Amino acid sequence: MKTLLLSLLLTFPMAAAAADAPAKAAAPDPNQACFDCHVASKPGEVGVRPAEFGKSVHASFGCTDCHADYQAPGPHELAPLTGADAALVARSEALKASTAPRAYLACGNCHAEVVEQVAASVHGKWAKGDAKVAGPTCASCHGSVHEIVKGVATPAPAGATFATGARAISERCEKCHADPAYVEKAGLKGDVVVTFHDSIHGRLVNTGSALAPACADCHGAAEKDGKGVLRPNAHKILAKTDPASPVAGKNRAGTCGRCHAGANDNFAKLVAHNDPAHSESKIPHFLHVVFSWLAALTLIFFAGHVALDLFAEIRHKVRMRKAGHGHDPAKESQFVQRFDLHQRAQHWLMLVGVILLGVTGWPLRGAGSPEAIETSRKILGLFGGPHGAALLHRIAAVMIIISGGYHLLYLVLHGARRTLAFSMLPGPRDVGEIRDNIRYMLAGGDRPAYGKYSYLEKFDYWAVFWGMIMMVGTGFVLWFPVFFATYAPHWLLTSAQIIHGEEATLALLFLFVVHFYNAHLKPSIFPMNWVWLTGKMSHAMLEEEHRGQYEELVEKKKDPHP
Amino acid sequence: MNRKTPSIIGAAVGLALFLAIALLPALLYGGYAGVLLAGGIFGTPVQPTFLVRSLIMFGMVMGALGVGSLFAVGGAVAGAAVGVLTTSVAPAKAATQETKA
Ligand code: HEC
Ligand code: HEC
Ligand code: HEC
Ligand code: HEC
Ligand code: HEC
Ligand code: HEC
Ligand code: HEC
Repeated sequence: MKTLLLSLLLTFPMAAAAADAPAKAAAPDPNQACFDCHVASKPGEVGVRPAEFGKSVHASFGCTDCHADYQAPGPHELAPLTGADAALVARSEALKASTAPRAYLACGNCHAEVVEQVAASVHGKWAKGDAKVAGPTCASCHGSVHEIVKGVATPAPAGATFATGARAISERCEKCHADPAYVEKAGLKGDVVVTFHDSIHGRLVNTGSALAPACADCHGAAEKDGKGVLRPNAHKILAKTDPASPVAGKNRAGTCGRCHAGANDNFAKLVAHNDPAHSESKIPHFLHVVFSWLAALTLIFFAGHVALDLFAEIRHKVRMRKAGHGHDPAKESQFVQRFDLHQRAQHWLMLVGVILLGVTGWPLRGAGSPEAIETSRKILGLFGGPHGAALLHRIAAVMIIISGGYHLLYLVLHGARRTLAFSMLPGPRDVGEIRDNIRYMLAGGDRPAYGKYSYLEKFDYWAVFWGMIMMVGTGFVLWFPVFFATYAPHWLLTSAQIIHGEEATLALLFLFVVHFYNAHLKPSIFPMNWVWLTGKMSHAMLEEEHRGQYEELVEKKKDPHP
Repeated sequence: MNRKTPSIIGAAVGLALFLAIALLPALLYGGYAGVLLAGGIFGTPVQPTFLVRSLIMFGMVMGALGVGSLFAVGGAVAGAAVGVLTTSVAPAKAATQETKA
């Protein structure tokens, strides 16, 4: 007895060691008989890739655990099936759903619950009724049955009540739901995948978010896992007409509420595969049209203005050179104070904020374009992914809000001390200057003698008021969507999404093309107008750019350089 | 050295960087902005008519100009900052050497 125990103890570790050793290959693989004829070398090829099968969740099983009745060598004679199994396999064969339909009968031996769930779901209908196309088999979502590995579901983030499911599986939904021919035959709605990728969630998922929902996260029934965290169950997907569907009627708010705590019905109408511009109300559509025209016309007008100005600048340079005009060092070394420290600080806050908002915001919007997804993912990756960028976006928003508040306070204090200058107010003089400047740019002659601020600068200034109201206003709606959905009508939330995007395009292109040209890049100013840093402008530049103001100054001060 | 030189060098570096890494994305984003504007103006789904194509081209040009300007101006500011630092550090060094001597 003792010797037996001893020998057992001794052989155990040895057996374990033997199993690890390469000698393992010597142990005959019970599946070898089948591999003699059924080895595949690349994915998609008929047969099994032994190495991949060896890594799969079913590696420890024999081929015949699923392919019951099969015997080497083939071709195989199989006993005929009876009853429900026979009908199922016949349907599967008729619709060419699988290369080995019988094998799916075996799944239920070990995954009975899942098989029942799938059969009861909308994806199980095809196997029962008379569908024109095959719906999903297990492999449609899980990939090659011989190569299934454990699903890599996202771990639930700390404090979250809902963990998103395996992204790779949700991508497989698109094989069917995005295929126009398939969708047509199956009588499904055709654009759900496009509208998903276009939605805020789709853009977040595509740029690397682990928190935003993919298909199965909204359509799967939410069930508690072992740790009490809710997870989507993609085996229980139902038609939207089924009252039990998570996207049907009253259930929808709860589905959004998996992630958006407190979501109500009004909120739940926001994202449902529809283009926000075509929601129930006509207002969002109307605003979409208006803002698109506004953005396009404003940009076209100012792009034309920049082009004309560049032309006039070059012409002016050539003439100056021919006329042999030189610099006047005295005028270059004398300065007027143009902006005080407060004004510059307001501008610094604004410019840092706006640039940050642009680089953290536009890539997310741009991710709606399939070609730009990779770029957007990389850019947002610089900020730690879309959620890192989202945080920075909010910080930058606070910066521009502070800048705006600071400016208003500044105006109020100046007003109270009766030192408020009204040089920024547009007036009849500007109309004349617009006309004169366009004539100058086209035909030459003299530039208008601008006062402290030209019409372009006034436009820049007032455009910021408009832009701030639009972007900050709609930004708050997007920041606290659940709150606004509780108190505001649905069209307001949808309109906010539309305006935020269109106005951002307008503002960024205007600032980076038009404002940057006027303040930095135009030949007479390049590399920049230093006034934003120093607050001072040289007399030479003042004479060039604000001749009206310069002449007033000379009058008053009896300037030595008339 | 001219006061402007460092910022001009900076702008050139910014522009080179733009051409190397950001031109393509800028064209993509700009074109997409054009598509979105066209969607609002001519209705979705966007049909490839002449006006739509022109608007997309316009978007691409604006995208490239905008992002290019951002790089150029960013480069100019960085160049100016480097210029200020190097010119203010150099005399300070000279001064310390004088006091030592
Ligand atoms: C001597 C070669 C050979 C061996 C060994 C062999 N098969 Fe086959 N097998 C075939 C051929 C040939 C076919 C194609 C039959 C046809 O097209 O009707 C086939 C088809 C299949 C199919 C596809 C479904 C079908 O019924 O057409 C499965 C599944 C299968 N074999 C499983 C097995 C399993 C499991 C083993 C091991 C127990 C095995 N085969 C061993 C030759 C073989
Ligand atoms: C977990 C169950 C399972 C195991 C284990 C399994 N198969 Fe399969 N096999 C299937 C299913 C399901 C299909 C049908 C695939 C489809 O619908 O695309 C299939 C299809 C096949 C086919 C048909 C051609 C093809 O590539 O689709 C062959 C051949 C085959 N299996 C051979 C094998 C061999 C050999 C083994 C053992 C190494 C094996 N299978 C192990 C489930 C299994
Ligand atoms: C003989 C029992 C058995 C059969 C038959 C079987 N499986 Fe499995 N399956 C398992 C076991 C065991 C696991 C591993 C469970 C684990 O590790 O948690 C598993 C895991 C899986 C997984 C899990 C992937 C994940 O994300 O964790 C999928 C998917 C799966 N099987 C699909 C199938 C399909 C499809 C079939 C039928 C073609 C099938 N199985 C047939 C036993 C079986
Ligand atoms: C509509 C897509 C879809 C279909 C069809 C599908 N699955 Fe799944 N399955 C999933 C998703 C998604 C998961 C979750 C993976 C994760 O998040 O880890 C999953 C997980 C699993 C798991 C592991 C977790 C669990 O619930 O036990 C098993 C086992 C499984 N599936 C088996 C099957 C079988 C067997 C079939 C065919 C009867 C099947 N699946 C059909 C999408 C699908
Ligand atoms: C944010 C949650 C959410 C996500 C993510 C989502 N859906 Fe939906 N889906 C819905 C809602 C809500 C509806 C109901 C729409 C309605 O009533 O008009 C719906 C409806 C559908 C419908 C039925 C459409 C119809 O009108 O017949 C299909 C099919 C569908 N979704 C597929 C998908 C696919 C595929 C994906 C992934 C690409 C996906 N869904 C991602 C929420 C979502
Ligand atoms: C093999 C193709 C295929 C795959 C893969 C697939 N589906 Fe489906 N899906 C269908 C078909 C076919 C129907 C319609 C079934 C019916 O009504 O008979 C359907 C129906 C649906 C519906 C119900 C639509 C309605 O009428 O409201 C939803 C939601 C859905 N699928 C979501 C998903 C999701 C999510 C995934 C991925 C996890 C997925 N599908 C994967 C083919 C597929
Ligand atoms: C799996 C989790 C999840 C589900 C389910 C979900 N969302 Fe979201 N949703 C997110 C995340 C994450 C964001 C990005 C939040 C952020 O950046 O602040 C988001 C953003 C949004 C936004 C943009 C506003 C914002 O906060 O930036 C809206 C609107 C929205 N979701 C609506 C919905 C609706 C409607 C549903 C239900 C049909 C839904 N969501 C379901 C995770 C989810």
